[in-house]
Amino acid sequence: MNKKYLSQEKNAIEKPEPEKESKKISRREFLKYGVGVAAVAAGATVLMGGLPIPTGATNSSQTKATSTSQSRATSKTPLVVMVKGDELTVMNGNDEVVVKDADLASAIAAKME
Amino acid sequence: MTSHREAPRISQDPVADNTDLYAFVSPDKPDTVTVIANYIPLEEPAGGPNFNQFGDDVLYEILIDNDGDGREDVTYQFRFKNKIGNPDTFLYNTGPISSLDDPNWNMRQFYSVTKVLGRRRSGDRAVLAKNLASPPVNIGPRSTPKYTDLANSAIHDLNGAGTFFAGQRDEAFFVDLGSIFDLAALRPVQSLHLIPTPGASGVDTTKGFSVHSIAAQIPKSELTDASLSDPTDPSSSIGIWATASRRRARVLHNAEPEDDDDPLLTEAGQFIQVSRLGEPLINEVIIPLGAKDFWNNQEPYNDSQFLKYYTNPELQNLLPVLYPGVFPNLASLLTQSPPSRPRNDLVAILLTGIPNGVVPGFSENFTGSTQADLLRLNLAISPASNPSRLGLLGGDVAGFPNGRRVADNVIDIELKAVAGAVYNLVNPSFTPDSNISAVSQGVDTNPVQPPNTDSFLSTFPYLPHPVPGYEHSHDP
Repeated sequence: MNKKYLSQEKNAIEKPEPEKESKKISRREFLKYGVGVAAVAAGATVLMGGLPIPTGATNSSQTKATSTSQSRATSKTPLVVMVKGDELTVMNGNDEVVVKDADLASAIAAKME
Repeated sequence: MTSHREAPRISQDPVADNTDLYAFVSPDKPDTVTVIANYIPLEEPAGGPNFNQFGDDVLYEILIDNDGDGREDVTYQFRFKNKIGNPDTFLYNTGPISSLDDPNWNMRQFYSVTKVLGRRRSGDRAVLAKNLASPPVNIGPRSTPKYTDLANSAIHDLNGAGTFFAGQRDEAFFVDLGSIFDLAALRPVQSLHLIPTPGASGVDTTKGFSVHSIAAQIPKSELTDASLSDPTDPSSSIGIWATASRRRARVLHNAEPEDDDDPLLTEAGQFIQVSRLGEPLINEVIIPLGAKDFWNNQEPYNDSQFLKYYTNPELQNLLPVLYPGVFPNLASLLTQSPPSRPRNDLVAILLTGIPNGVVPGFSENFTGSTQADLLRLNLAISPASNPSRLGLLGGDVAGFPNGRRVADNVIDIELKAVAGAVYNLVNPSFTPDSNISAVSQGVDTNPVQPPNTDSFLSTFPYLPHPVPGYEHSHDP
């Protein structure tokens, strides 16, 4: 990389809509985040509508988090979730967060059967 | 075509389909480089009421590698947004469009230009401009009566950062698609084809069609810090390519009739590359069907994985079969096992650049050992005063494959190269077939069509104004 140009351009640089790297979030954060979920892609299949979180697949604290979040107003901008293996990728605008949760992924997959 | 509808998946996504890429030292401003990235293949100029335009959901990029590693060091990103003037009419315009802010024009498009230093997704970003206007398409004498003025007013000079244009242009890439895709027939010599028909003149199949061009005329100093005083200095050459990317996810909604705010569509996630283009005809002709979609997604620094398609190209093997007896020396060469006759001439021309000393009279456009599909341009070589449309094959060191100018006949050049025209430079025991001189599609330039008065413009953006939908024609 040509560092000279980096230094020359520094003053003019701003960061509109930065492309964020995928990051890990906790299961709790994800469930809270999931209140606005409008779409779930399980493999190549896209499912419209709210994301059903089966209570049997979550422990009590997580169920509580879900319950709390469900009482909030639905996000105007839907989140999109892709489920592949035990990973759930949550997308909103440029942002992507990845959650590894085999229980939740399998519960969603079971709902698709 | 150089990259029009060249892969199964991108053929279903025209607004994201790279069609041609040009890069050359600007003949009228030799301290600048002009890069033109075309998208949307074979636009029908009369295709209203929703005429062609850039995708407002596509990230368009022009990328520069200035250190030979096949990775971008400077990227220009272009994002478009639409603005509907009057939503209560079906018309693109409700009267003549006389300026870029004419209220008669209902479907306008604006774009931003962002420069990224370093990797395109993580480097340092600077927004060079926002809300730059694209011109309307060329409709006809009632809607766009002074089209040249309209289009020229959409050329934006960004005060030393470059000059930019994004809008419809004539499809000036000249090619006889009708014959080439009919089992590689070349009309002038099709009497020699395995399935012969009488010889005929070539036909420019793209005549009368349009494309959408992103054109940038950028000071050389914005692209590299090389001194550019010595054409044999390896740092004088840069690699250029263009891409289109879409967000990872796209979800359609059923709208509620009473909800005017429902977007009908949600797009989310990172941008994923769906199309790319460096050298002409690579994904079109070199890469096989099963790898084309994958190739479009890959980055140039990974292109050594496609090496086998360059060293033993399918087209090379077809030529002696489709034209029996026409290429005896090439046919004889092909009796040897592929590993013993690698086409290192094509590897040099298309994957690394040509090193110094290989082509007499040509310094080099070698960018290093990294094999990458880049359009390589030696910035220290001055524009030609008397250009040859056969570029380097015609003795013109400022032409393809040293960059690509709008008038370069890349079809003829690459056909001749694949047939072995310069294989003797890397394999002195090989003698190019004498018939290679007759290998030609029979189309040598873009035909002149009103409102243009020449095949190409002599100044930026060089590609001709688009043909009006009202009076276009596609026949010769």
